[in-house]
Amino acid sequence: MIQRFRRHFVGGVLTATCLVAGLTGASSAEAMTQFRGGGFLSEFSSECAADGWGGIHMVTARYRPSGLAMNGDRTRLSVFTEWGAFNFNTEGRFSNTMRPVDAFAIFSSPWMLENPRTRLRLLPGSSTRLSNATTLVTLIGEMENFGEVENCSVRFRFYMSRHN
Amino acid sequence: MFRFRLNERLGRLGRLTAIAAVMGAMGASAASAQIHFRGGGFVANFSGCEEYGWFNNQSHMIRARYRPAELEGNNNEASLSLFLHTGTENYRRQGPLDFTFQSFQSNFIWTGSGRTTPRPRIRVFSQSPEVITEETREVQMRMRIRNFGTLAGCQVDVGIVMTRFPRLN
Repeated sequence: MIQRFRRHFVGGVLTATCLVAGLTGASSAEAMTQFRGGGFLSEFSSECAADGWGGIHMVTARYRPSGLAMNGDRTRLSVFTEWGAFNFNTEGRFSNTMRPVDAFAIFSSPWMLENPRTRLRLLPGSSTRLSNATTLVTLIGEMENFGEVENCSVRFRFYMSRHN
Repeated sequence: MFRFRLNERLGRLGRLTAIAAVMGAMGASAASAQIHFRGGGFVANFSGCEEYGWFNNQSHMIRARYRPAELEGNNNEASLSLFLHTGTENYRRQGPLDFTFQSFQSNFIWTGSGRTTPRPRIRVFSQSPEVITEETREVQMRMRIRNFGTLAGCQVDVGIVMTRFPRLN
């Protein structure tokens, strides 16, 4: 009986903790190690024109690499364009070989970018040796199937500074 | 009397419109002929900017455009624009950005718009590639700006990465 009560109690505490964690999402984000900056999207392949992508897009970006203080085991990169916002995330860090990543977008509406999945790789020049003391991060890379446009490839380059 | 004033105003308006039209036309053709770079980055390491709500542990995401003085057709005038979410500043001077502090003419659009005083001073810490040529495709640079945000004594560090426009084949 006591056991069961304890189990309920633990469950209750967990639920409460989750609720509190959810409510304080903003403040716990402050404690995470994140970088904020911007850069550009360029070299859109001709396929991208199907969805209007081309030329140069000046963008801002946020980056939360896995393994740094409070960041957990997923890496998250958000890119804000004039047209809408993207988030790319993966278990561990982004690879220097083309790999599918989880991608989510908010334009007029939110949606998962699954068909086809976005593929991403980092190119030489990217900051890959990161520590809790890192203050500046450069990310250079390529994406394929950008914005769910099949075979649409794009180059990106961001320069970001530690926030908090 | 009233009519005279009105006519005078209309005349002035007409002249302004004509000047604006000419400048607009010039602006468009000049911009398309001149090589510049477009991208973004951050403003960080705020110091002496607390009055405006900027603190040293913040990194603000920005977009940026840069017309280097070094390139032919740019009239030896460097012009750099930083677009924050809350406002925009432009800095320009005769001659290129320098690794020592130089004074820049500056205009701003925050809640209002105007000429920045005291003049901002800018020094470049690092730039890659170190020399910008007609063939340069991408530029990454970090610099320090004093008198940022129209606030005397407010110092920030700015990092930007940008790509060339028009495009090279």
